[in-house]
Formats: sequence, structure tokens, C-alpha cells
Amino acid sequence: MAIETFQNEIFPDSAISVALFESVANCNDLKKLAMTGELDATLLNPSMIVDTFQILVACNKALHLDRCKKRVTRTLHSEVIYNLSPSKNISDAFRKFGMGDKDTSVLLVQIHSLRKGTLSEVAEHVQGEMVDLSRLQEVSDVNKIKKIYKVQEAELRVSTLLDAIVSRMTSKEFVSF
Amino acid sequence: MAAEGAAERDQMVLLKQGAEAKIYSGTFMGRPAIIKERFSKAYRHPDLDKSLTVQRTKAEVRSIMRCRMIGICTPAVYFVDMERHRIYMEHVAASITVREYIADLERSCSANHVSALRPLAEKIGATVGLMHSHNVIHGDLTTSNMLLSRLPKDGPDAGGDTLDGYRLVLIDFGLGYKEGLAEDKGVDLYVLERAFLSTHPNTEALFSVILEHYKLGYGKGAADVINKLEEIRMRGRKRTMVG
Ligand SMILES: Nc1ncnc2c1ncn2[C@@H]1O[C@H](COP(=O)(O)OP(=O)(O)OP(=O)(O)O)[C@@H](O)[C@H]1O
Ligand SMILES: [Mg+2]
Repeated sequence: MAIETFQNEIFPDSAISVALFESVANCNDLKKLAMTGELDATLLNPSMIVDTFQILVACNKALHLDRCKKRVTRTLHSEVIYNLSPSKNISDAFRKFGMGDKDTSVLLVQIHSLRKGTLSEVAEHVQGEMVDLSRLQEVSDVNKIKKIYKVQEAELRVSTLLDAIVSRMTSKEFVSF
Repeated sequence: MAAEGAAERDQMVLLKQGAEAKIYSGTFMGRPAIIKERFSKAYRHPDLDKSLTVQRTKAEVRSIMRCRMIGICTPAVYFVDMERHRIYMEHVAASITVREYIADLERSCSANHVSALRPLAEKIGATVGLMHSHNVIHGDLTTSNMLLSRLPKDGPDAGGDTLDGYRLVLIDFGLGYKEGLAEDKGVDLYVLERAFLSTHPNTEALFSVILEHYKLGYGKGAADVINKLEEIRMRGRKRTMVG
């Protein structure tokens, strides 16, 4: 049960840290802190995530758009939420992929410099239990995910659900689903 | 930015230098990936050049998505970098091109390679038929742009949509587009036929198997396309006669 940190080949000066919490009592407060910019992290709704790779794809795209000054949302961390969504509607992305204030579980994601991550400081604000990322498999709501990403059975005959999802995330600027 | 590019380039291996794209193998967030990078052509006007590379990169991603959504195997797309005209995609594991596969069979069992290739021809026909029935035109339907991948034994869809343990994956959609006209579909088939007959001798019988299963995969409307194909063949012949 620890924070996991991932390296990115494309942006080797940065890293991505992720932690999953369950039985969280204070999502409402966390949301307020996040809105005032006091939490340097993204707060995600874990039921919309099938695999850590899905998060990493969203973070990589956020870093890329940030560095070439083509971000769509206000911050690097809010861009991660937008990138998870298959739609170009920003508020819709926040509603579906951001942590809800009545939720009892949350995924914390931080993009930071290679040397110094501060997700453990952010994690101190969470009143809940940190669990292993492998718990995502139990937490994710596969039927809802299929519906939101509009993944049909025909595609799942030739692809994993994860590949179907990340392909939509990366191509939504040129394709409508 | 420059340092980043350099560090990443160190980990990329150039597999192929095509006419307008470089194909690298590398990793994306730890996964084996193919990086397809379209480059500038000095002889094109810079503005035209930029818009063409952008257009082809978008076209490729669009057609990959259209195909996968109707149940045709294409590589997963991990990242599109429009600044560098790169597509990072799934490295189709343990794969060879259909072209290589046919050449291998011709070498190892030249006597009956046509019957050995029948299941593959059926699969190609059905796949292209399905694609055309959804009005997706590939634009460069050659045997180098079709991969055969050995499935992992306990893969998510092992035993499903496979032929003899292989799965057919379509790639290289840079000239792809959406069009309902029989003419465009006919040209797609004609390109496939030319590619088949010119690189794989004595395969006329195989191409008729492809057409049979094209009709099955397509359903209603396939006859119009086959008629167009006849027309296009005639035109092709006239053109070569005139010189
Ligand atoms: N996703 C992939 N997985 C495995 N191998 C691949 C993949 N994509 C491409 N390849 C290999 O690289 C070769 C060239 O790829 P592709 O056909 O996309 O480029 P190209 O023909 O150079 O492109 P263009 O026609 O736009 O110049 C393929 O024939 C195949 O051997
Ligand atoms: Mg090719």
C-alpha cells in the first residue's frame, strides 16, 4: 500500500505518482481544497478507471499539450481529467471523471519533476485508507465505462477494453464517437 | 525540449524508412510501441508539405478508429504528437506482414501453397468486405499493410476471431477516408488485386476466394463494387495498351 511512481520515456524530466484510497470520509473537503488550488494533484473518480495505464496515457497527453502550449483547461492537473474523457465537453469530463464530493474513494494523481514528488503531502489530507492500485480492478464500473466510452461488443472481439478506451482518449480531436 | 527529444531518440530503433514516414520501435509508458513519424519532403512547398503530413496523420488515426470500432483489428493508439507528426501505437506482437507470410509459404510448400493460403484469403476478403460495408476506404491495400500476429495463448480473445492461431491486423491508413461510392471501393480492391498478383505469382485462384468472401463480409451492395472492379480492370488494360 504505497504511492506508485511511473517514468515517462517522452518526458524523462518528469514523473507521475498515483495513489488509491478507499473508505474516504472527507471527499467534500478535499474537493474544496482542490478548487482553491491548495492540493497539487488531480482527484479522480476511480470507478471510471480500468487500469493505471489509462491514467498514464492521460498524463502524457497533458504534459505534451502543456509544453506545446495547447492545453484546453486551466492547469496541467485539470487537463488530466479532460484527457480521460472521450468527449470535448469540459464540464462533462469533470462530472464523470473527477472525484465527486459524495464519493468514498479517490485516486490521487500528481505530475511532478523527476526528483521531487509531493503526493505524500497531498495524501495527508485524505481521511481514508490507502490501498494497492490492483484494487482498481474491483472498483471500476465496467458497464458504465463501456457506456461512457461507447464501446460495443464488435470492438471487444478484437481489442481489450483498455485499448479501446485509450485509443478514444488519444484521438478525440479528430474522431467523433 | 531538445534534450527530451534526444533522450527518447536513444531508446528508439529505426525499423523502416519509408517514402514519407519513419517507423521506429520503442516503448510508451513501458509498453512496446511502434512510432510512425511522417517527415517533410524537400520538393513540396513548405505550406503544402505541412498540411499534407498533418492530414495524413489525422487520416491514419481516423481510419484506425473507424475500423476497430466495427470489429476489424488495428493497433491501439497510445499518443498522437501533431507537433512532430508522430503516432505512437501498439506494437503488434509477434507479427509478420501478409507479404512475408505468403513468401514463406511459397518457399516451404510451393506445391500446395495456394490451398494452404485459402483461410488467409477468406479472412482478407471478409475483412475488406466488412470495412467497405461501413464505407471505410483503406487507400493503400497491399499485402505489406496487413499484419499477421501470433496471439498470446491465453490472450483476451484467444480462440475467437482468429485463423489458425493468427490474427489479421490492418495498418498504414494514411490514405484512408470515408466514402460510400462503389467506385472508390472498387479502386481499393483493384489495388489489392494488383498487389496480390504482382508480388505472388499464380494466385489468381486466391484472389477469387478473396472476392467470394468479400461478398459475404459486405452483404447487400457488394455486387455493385465487383462490377466497378471489372470496369476499373478494363480501364487499366486500356491504359497499358495505349502505353
Ligand atoms: N503497429 C505495428 N506493429 C508491428 N509492426 C508494424 C506496426 N506498424 C508498422 N509496422 C511495420 O512497419 C512497416 C511499415 O509500416 P507502415 O506500412 O505503416 O509504413 P509505410 O508503408 O512506410 O508508410 P507510408 O506508406 O505512409 O510511407 C509495416 O509493413 C510493418 O512491418
Ligand atoms: Mg506500408
